[in-house]
Amino acid sequence: MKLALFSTPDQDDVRPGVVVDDGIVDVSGVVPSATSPQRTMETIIDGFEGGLRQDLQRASREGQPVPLANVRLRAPLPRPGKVMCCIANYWEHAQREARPLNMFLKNPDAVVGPGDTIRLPNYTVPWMFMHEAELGIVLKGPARMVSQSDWRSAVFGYTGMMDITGRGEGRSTWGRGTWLGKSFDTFLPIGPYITTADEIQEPNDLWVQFWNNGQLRHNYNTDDMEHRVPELIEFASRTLTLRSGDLICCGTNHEGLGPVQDGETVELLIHGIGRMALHVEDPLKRTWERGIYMGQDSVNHEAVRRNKPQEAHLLRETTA
Amino acid sequence: VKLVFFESPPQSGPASLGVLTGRGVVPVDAAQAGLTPQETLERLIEAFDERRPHLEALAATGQALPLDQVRLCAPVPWPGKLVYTTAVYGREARAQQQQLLMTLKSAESVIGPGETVRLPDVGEPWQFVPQAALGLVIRGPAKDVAAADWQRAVFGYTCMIDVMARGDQQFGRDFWLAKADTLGPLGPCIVTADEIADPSALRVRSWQSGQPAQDFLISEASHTLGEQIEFATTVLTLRTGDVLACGTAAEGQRPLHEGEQVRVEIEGVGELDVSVARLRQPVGGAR
Repeated sequence: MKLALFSTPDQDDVRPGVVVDDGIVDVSGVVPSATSPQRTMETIIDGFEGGLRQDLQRASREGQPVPLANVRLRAPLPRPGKVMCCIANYWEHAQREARPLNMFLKNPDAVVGPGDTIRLPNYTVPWMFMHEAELGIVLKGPARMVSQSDWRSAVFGYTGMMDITGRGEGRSTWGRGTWLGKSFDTFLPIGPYITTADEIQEPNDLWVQFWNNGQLRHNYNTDDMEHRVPELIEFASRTLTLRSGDLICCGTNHEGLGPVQDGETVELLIHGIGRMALHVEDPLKRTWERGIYMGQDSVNHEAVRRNKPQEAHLLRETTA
Repeated sequence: VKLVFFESPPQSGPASLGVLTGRGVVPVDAAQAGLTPQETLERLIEAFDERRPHLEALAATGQALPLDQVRLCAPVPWPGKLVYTTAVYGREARAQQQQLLMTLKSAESVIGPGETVRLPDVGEPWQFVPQAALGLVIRGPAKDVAAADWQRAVFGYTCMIDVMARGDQQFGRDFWLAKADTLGPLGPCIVTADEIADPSALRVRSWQSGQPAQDFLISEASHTLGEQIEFATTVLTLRTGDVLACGTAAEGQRPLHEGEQVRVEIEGVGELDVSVARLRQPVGGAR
């Protein structure tokens, strides 16, 4: 099942919906009312296995679908309690030992949704702003000390996520150690909806694609993760209590990194999960060379050798 | 006024809002059906100017529950964001100023007075270090606030302990482990901003098991409170009920051990006491 939050041009309030073949069905009639759209989604997560799944299935069969073009999809998790993001976590063709798993917290107030605008800050200390395309794991809790073998008990579903990032030197995140470059307002696009876990047999076999103004940037499979989804659940739940509506972001394959800048449209597709596009605005109208990042610390050595052979000798193996 | 959340055993249920006085805690009739304690606090912050005369009257003459009949809880029960700046304090701090940064913890880290910090069981060579901090309880939304206007974003003050982890120079897992459940004590109350005439005159002191640890003046800061608010709101929007921890002093920090007591005192704000235990379960980040 694909669960969404949406509004319509004539009704701005945010309602829950089920996405079906020919549109979206308003299911607010069967979802208990809540104090915020985030709480509405958490109510669905908590009630899903207690009968709500059947109610939602019936409502989505019997209701009249509205074409997706006629509604505004909103972020399916408008304000998660916690957003826990993997640091690195893809092999990216490297020949080395696995690096220790590590995570950071991203500002949960930075959420935007499909069709919304990523606004670069009026702040010039970070030298560049980049996209990272990621698989998001939507959690159900409370869950603490979950073992890898029991990982599915803490997973409600999956969604797409862009980890927009301000860079310090090269491609290192601005605010070394703090990961602050990832927490500017609007730097957390989530969507387009939540695909429930029963539709995804293997989260480590998903094809992630990302375009910037139609130019393919990220194009990878989640089978390349260094630490796979069951280990992520175990790791996060040993430090923090996981709650319904929290999000774990699995990290990205950095071979596809590139800048985001004023006027661009960025688009994320995770096959089997969904597709969303957002706009980029920059009040300072900064510009960077368009395309995949090919600085000296690029992990996309193949692209640098092909496009900038004169700089290939500067490439270095990175450890983190 | 000084706002607290409290439980009065044997009654159960969510913590109640109260005003802390010399006589004890005066309950505030603020609970609304369906609201969490945090939402109750946020509504009160938004309506404070209107509610203030009533709260001051309660503080002056309301019927109080003696402190030995209540248990104080975290005065900000479930903040949307817990933000810790990297400001430092000491005589040389201003001269050695570096780029200000911030880290985030989540509401899972919050515990209140008398509660227990549970140190993740990660073994050697990890250490945990309590860092005393002045906490600003936010009235928002606050974005792009100029340093001179910083008090516009502040509802009140509280005492905080930022339990930091140390032990991984190479991969920086310290920052992740420091986000664990219970590693962000705060309390015992929120002192509303009108009660602190000169916040820069505040002195922050801490003790570990009765031994003096940190002792610093907010006036001796690498970055003023205004500069910290300005920086925070350059990056993100601070919202009502968020808490900004204003950094700490390098001097006086000591590793924390099981069985210790930690106290932070800020004169005019309050005294926050917590105890320390070790979590008897393996924790991510150790491998």
